[in-house]
Amino acid sequence: MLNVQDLHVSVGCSEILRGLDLAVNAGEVHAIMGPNGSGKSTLAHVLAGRPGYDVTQGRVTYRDRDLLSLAPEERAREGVFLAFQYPVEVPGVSNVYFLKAALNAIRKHRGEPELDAMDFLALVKEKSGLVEIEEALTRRAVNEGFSGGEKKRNEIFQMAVLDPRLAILDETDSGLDIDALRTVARGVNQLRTAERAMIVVTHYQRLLEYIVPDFVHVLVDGRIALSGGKDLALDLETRGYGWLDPGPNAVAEAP
Amino acid sequence: MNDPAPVGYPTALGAPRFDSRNEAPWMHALRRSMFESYMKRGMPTPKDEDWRHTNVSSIATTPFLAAASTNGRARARDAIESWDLGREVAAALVFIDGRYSPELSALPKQDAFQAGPLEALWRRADGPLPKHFGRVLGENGHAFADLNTAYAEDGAFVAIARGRVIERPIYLLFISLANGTPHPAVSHPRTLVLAESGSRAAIVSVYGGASEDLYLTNAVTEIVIEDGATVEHDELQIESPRAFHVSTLAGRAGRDGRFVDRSFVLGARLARRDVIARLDGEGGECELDGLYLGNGTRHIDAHTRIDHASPHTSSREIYKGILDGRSHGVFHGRIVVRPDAQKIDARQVNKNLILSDAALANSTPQLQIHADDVRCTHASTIGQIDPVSLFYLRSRGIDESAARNLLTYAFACEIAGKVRIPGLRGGIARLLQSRLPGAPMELCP
Repeated sequence: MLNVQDLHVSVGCSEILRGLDLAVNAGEVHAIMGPNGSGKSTLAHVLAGRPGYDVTQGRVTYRDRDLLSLAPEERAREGVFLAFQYPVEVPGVSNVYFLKAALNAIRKHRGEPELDAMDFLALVKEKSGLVEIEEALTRRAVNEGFSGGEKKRNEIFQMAVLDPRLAILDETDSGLDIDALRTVARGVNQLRTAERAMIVVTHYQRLLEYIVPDFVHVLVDGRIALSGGKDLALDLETRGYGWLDPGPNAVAEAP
Repeated sequence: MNDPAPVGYPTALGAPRFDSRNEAPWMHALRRSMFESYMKRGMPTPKDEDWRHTNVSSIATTPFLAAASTNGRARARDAIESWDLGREVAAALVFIDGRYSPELSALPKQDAFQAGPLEALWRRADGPLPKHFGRVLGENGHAFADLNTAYAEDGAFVAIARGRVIERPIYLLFISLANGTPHPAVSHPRTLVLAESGSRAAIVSVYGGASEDLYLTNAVTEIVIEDGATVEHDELQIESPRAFHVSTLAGRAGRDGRFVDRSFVLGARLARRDVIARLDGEGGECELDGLYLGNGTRHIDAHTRIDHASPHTSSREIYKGILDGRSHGVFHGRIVVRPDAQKIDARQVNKNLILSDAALANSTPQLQIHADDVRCTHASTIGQIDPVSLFYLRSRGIDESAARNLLTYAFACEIAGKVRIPGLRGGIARLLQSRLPGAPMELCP
């Protein structure tokens, strides 16, 4: 489904990703781990098309298309979804209005009829149960005044409604207490299907106890230093990231 | 020394007819003193600190005459119908070119409040007017407010009886037909609201034009809020595109009084609005909100002054501007804390959203604090649509232009959503939808 080859990405003058390779197939869950500053979030944002990131080398194909040539909204309509680490507050726009506009843009692109208000509300009701999001929250302005946990649940709720093919979860566990983490993970697990792929970006192994990945990749200095099965995460938990070789192209950090 | 006045406003109007109106001596004296005050001040120029960004020479050089509309009643009725709040209002007073229109107004009989035209009361030596009329404004007005007092033909008087709560708003509609004169027309609408102690009421003022011509509306509103009373005032300005609109609102709240003003400036080629709020008693609160929309070459100036004259008073202020085309928006927010007015809590925010390369915003917060145990905060921003918010919406499949429109509309909704009268909130949302391209057909949440 997704094929990342030799991806180099710069932000401003500094190169963040330095030759990253990654292949993700339908039905798989890939965890991307790594120390702070290794490029995990950059990878998530570049895949979703955030402006301000310069791809200087390499290519990304998604369902046999050049993903990097697509605008962010085109990627979303093709089934790419990014759950934000810091979901954005949009005062003045209600959650349901926002989601209906998004879903209908995606449906239109797929050649499906737009959902009317009744059908949409039925869908909202069904999906809001998945992440235990109160219905009142869906009528409030997008993320405005939401707690950290509510914001993360809202991201997964959006994912459930928009039904993506490739979901990228950027540090979805950050700032969550254990109960909120369980709720979010339960929602994500219910969305695991044979057709859907997921990339779970996280700093901690904790999340992977609840969302068990098929593959674990360790990102160090902008490239994947090590890949393995789910047990690799446990290894990292006990040994930390320090022992990993950043690789021959690594550049020493300034002190 | 002032330059000699051009044969424009107000010279073309001639000296105010102080003697021909049969008015009570107090009114006669007030008009005369305000005219003298104007003669001393003269028209403001960009050299005046408070008019630095707003040049009114185009008003001063236009020979406006008092509107004497003889036709266009049908258009007035259309304008009224489009702003009919129906059963949502407790009473409706309609003014055409600043003059009361009994046939278009609706004043149901009741005893909780008194509402009617000012003109008849100006002839009386007794009643509440000699005590309150012109007193809230006092010396705080500018040349335009002086001229309003000198030239006003009529206006609205609303008094809420002690302890009474009026659930539905009292509606004041000022329509400019602005015809019947060989020159551009001017009207001087005037309003006095008196909320007696412990009362509560909502007032809605709408200033609209049913004229394609150039005209001037120079309005003054005074609001007296006695101890423990609350007045919520919503004002919508939707004058015609060629109009000039200058308005001054002065409100004074006593002990535990509460003054709310929400202003929506959507019309006129040049709009200047001054709010002067004074908190005169402990526990007094005021809340000033404003939204101004600029496009084309429009110029909008919002000046506010909050005077914390008593300890333990608080104020909240949010003004937002959306500026497109070559429009120019000006916000000037002054907060004054008097000596010994301790335990003040004042918060002011001004945010400007710039949609084009040529639009311009000026934002000047000004704190004058003469007490030491106070909390005053202010924040002011001028910028474009937040790129992170834009990316968030696009990452969900919404295309870029729709996302921009949605965020612009949402920016305006923060203020529009505060309006508590459903018919008015809906009307404002529809206006925003018609002025902000591609805004969603959904009311503010």
